[in-house]
Amino acid sequence: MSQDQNNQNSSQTSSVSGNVSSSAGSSGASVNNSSHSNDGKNAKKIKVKKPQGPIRWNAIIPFVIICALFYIYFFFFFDTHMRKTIEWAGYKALGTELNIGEFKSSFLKGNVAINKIELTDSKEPQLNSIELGSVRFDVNWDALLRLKFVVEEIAVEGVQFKSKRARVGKVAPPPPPSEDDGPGFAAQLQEKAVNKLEGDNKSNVLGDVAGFLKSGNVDAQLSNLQGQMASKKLLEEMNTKWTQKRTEWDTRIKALPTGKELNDLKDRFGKIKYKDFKTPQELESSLKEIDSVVKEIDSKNKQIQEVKSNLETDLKALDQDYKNLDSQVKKDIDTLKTHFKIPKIDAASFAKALFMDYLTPIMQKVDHYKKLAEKYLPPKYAKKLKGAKEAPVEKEDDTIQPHPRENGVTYEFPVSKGYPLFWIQKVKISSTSNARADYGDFKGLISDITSNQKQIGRPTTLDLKGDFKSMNVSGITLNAELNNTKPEPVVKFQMGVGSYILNNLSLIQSKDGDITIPSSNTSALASGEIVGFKQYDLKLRNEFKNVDFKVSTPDKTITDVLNETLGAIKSFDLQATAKGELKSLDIDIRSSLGGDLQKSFENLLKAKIAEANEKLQKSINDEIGKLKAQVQAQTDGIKNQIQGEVNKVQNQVNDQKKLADDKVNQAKKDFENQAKNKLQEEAKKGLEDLKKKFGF
Amino acid sequence: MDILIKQLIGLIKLLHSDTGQNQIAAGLAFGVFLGFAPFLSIQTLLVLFIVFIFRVQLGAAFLSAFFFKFVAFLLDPVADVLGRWALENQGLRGLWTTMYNVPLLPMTRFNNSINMGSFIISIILCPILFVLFKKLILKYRTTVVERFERSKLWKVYKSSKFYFWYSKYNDLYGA
Repeated sequence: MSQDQNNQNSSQTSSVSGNVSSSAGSSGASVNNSSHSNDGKNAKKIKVKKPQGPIRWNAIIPFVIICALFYIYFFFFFDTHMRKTIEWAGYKALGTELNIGEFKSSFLKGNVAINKIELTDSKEPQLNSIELGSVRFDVNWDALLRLKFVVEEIAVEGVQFKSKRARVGKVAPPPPPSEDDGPGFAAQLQEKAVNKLEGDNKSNVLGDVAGFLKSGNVDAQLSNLQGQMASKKLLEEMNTKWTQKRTEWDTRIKALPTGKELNDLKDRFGKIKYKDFKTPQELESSLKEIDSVVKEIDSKNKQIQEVKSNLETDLKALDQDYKNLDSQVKKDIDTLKTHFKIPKIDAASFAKALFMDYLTPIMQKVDHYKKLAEKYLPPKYAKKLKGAKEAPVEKEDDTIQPHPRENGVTYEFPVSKGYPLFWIQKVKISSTSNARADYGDFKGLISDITSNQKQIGRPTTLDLKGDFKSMNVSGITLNAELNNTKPEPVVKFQMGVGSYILNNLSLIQSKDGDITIPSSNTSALASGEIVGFKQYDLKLRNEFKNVDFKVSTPDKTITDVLNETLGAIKSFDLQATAKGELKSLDIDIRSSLGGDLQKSFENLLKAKIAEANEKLQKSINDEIGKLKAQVQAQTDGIKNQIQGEVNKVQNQVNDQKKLADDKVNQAKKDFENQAKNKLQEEAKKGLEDLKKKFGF
Repeated sequence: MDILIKQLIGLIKLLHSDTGQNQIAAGLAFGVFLGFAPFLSIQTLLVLFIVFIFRVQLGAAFLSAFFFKFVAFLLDPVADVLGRWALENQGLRGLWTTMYNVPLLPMTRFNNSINMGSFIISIILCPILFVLFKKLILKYRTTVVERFERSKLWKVYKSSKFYFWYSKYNDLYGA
């Protein structure tokens, strides 16, 4: 800049003398005349600007003002805006109103305190589903300068469930079900646990038993329903299809090479000379003839192979048709059972029918959280949750290597002091009840919530224990682990409640009768393992103690049986499991109550149900038996006769081909022997001539 | 936009004055950094800060940045090769690893081959271009401007009332 200063000085001199009119640039340092020298008014004042230094002071003031404005914004408005943003985002994400009492942050200290976080209960908007008294944490500045969000410890205090809200919370309407949504847990429970036929998934065990006890005679109605059986229709279609196929096959068999044609070929072979060749021309002519016959055999063989392949395809289709028929017959029997309300007297069916209403809301909650996870999990995991098939990936390479990008190559160097993008090292939850509020007494620790577990080498874990004495809930335990350090992420959890009072548990509620449990001392233990967000293994075990059943049915016999059975039961359990892939979960519900009811009803209805089942089976057999025999005859014809015919022709052609090969080999061998003998004779003769020549 | 136009007018004025060749040359040289660096990066912010705080001709800097953005685009393959060479150099591996683990520096995205290559090119070009631009400005003033000012057209314009009032206005309110 010193040179610049010199230039400015020289400019000043020249301007003053009036040689050049200089107009300084915006940031240039120069000297200006206040009026032009040509005017000759030298008396006018000459305004001299000070030379400007290298720093643009007039830019620093706005910069300072901008910094001050930033400070003012962060001091006065940032916290309010953050609070409103979290409330808005929370409502959008969770679908229920989220309120935050106070949000306090310090930019320089890097700490945040959020007080009174209330999340509205979607079912009861006058209550909160959860309320947190305060949440405090410090942000790690070192990580923040690396554009990473790291919190060493979050303290969560004053946790309350179902606390009363000051005003009713806003609940977003449920989103319309999207078409690509797979079957949820609740839907699968409905579909698989209950005998879902003809859209009737509201099976009612009491109604079925009562109805069956009253009527029990299926003969009269059965004859009307026989014509509507889907298996009969299927069988008719099969009959038409396979009769047509049989005709087609008959035509095809006729087009196959006949015995006469094959015998002609045999005769042609017989006439071909295959030994005692006198000249090579003779051999060549024979080989040509053999070649021509072989070609003909090959063409016939090809024709047979084609027919054989078609036959195999048809036989496979036939097997599939029979399988479909068997499955349809089973469905028809089930349909008829449902129509006649033949109750399933087995423990599993009772358990399913009794605990459907109890388990469905639980499964609906699981579905809700699954949808939230699908929405907010990183796409690669969300896809797995949705059940999308992944492209096969090669084994992950842990070594540092460049990843090709659209623009250049981005290298990754070993991270000696690095953080994952997001990392909350510890969340300490503690709550103690006091006179003013029932916060519950519990302690918990969530550790290592992070965007990259592989980098820190630790899974995310949750450990929580506590009681809500005023709500009579004790022995709450929650342990969970999300392990993403392995090739497939594994989620394990175990959630238990030692004891809680369950009021008004309605097992069955219908016009045919009610079974309720006014109050029971219950314990629950849910556990599960999810591998790769694809394979589920979920278990739920409930124990109901100090149980008194309340039974009312219009049918006296049923009421007596139920009172007698249930009166003796003081405790029972419920075990529900769901295993496998989400699309096809293997759901099982068992309960000791089901077993007890099974025993009671078995005595009452067993003989009658067996008789009805037998009648149904017989009716179906009668209806489709004749038709089945017809189809069987057609298909047996194809299977045995056609297949036999094709095999026979194939064997004949094979024989001819073998004969041709033998003849060719024999002809070649014969000619070789002849040539060999001739050569030996020639050699012998030559030797004799030589001997004579030399006088031996 | 107003500031930008004002700065460009200032550049033209400065170019036609006898002063400020260092400011213009520095502006043009810093423009190389702005043109070669990614638009949103910490080094761009740093250069902008320097350009604003120090008396560097802003119009020149922006004009140069605009021009060198296209040059940078054309030189991307060269920058890529150069960046790969630097980043894969075993002798420099320690330096890169340290820089990768230091706060703020990873925000420069120095670990990208094109960014690194562009940075090297701008580091090399900056002093060369500074000297070159300075010489070119002086040459421009001694040849083009002087010849123009000697022309009859300019003399007629300079002796006009319009010029008188313009220079008056400029003296009083001009930047």
